[in-house]
Amino acid sequence: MVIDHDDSDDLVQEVFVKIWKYLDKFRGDSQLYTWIYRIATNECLSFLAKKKKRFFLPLADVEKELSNQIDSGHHYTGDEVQMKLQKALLKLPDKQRLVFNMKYFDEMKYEQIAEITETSVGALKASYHHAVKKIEEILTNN
Amino acid sequence: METNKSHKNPFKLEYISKKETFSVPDGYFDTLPTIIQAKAIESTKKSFVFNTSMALKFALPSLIFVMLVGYFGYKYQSGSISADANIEQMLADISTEEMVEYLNQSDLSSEDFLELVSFDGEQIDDFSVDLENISDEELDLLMENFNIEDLENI
Repeated sequence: MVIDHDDSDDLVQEVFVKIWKYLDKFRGDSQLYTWIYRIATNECLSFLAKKKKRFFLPLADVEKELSNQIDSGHHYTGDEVQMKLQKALLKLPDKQRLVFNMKYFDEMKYEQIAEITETSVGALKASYHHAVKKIEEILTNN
Repeated sequence: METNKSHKNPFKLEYISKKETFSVPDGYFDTLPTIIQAKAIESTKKSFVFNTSMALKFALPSLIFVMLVGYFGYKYQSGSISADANIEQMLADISTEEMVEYLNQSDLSSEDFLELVSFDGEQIDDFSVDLENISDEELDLLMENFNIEDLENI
């Protein structure tokens, strides 16, 4: 989601510290896995939102910066088509990209994603279907 | 490993191999637990300092309130002092004739004034009458306002 390894590293550490800090507040009304995943997704989305605010520029410039990081090849092992796919994903809104990653790459069920993102299954299906169409269009045009 | 099926549309998502394209540096997960543990301990210390500062946070609004009250109280007092100065200026602007007219119409006596005003030696001399150079009109005015019986007590 955040592309850069250093940013990912910071977020991973932050997520685990939060899990350790708030574990006693875990009510057990969801699975532990779901709770942890929800912390991770929230931290990720907050980070991306802060990054955009810090830039004080249009969203496209943040997308460009992330795209350049893919081009730099640091800790990136995919081929050209997969690189194009990752760049196309950057054009999606953050939450839609998150849902796409969870469904497409992590192969999670809609019910699991719904529990983590606290969004309805119907909305998620629509979001994913729309994301797929958009990505294919971007890949075809580019 | 899946191969890309490009006979129709190569950019259809179903034809793109699903591969993890991001990697981590060697030994990353070996050091990660130690780093997280250190950060967790540090965050515990920080939350203690944060709670102490919370006490200050609550004291701060009270302090600001007291300062504001003090400031506005000082301003009010300064305003009243300048108001007194304005009153004196207003009195100074009133002509002697208007004052005499007012005093003639009032019930105030000389004794009433003497109670309110304190004179030092020089000021009293200012009020003394030069009897050798007094005019007839001034003498008549003095006699009108001066009780002849008091002369017997001198």
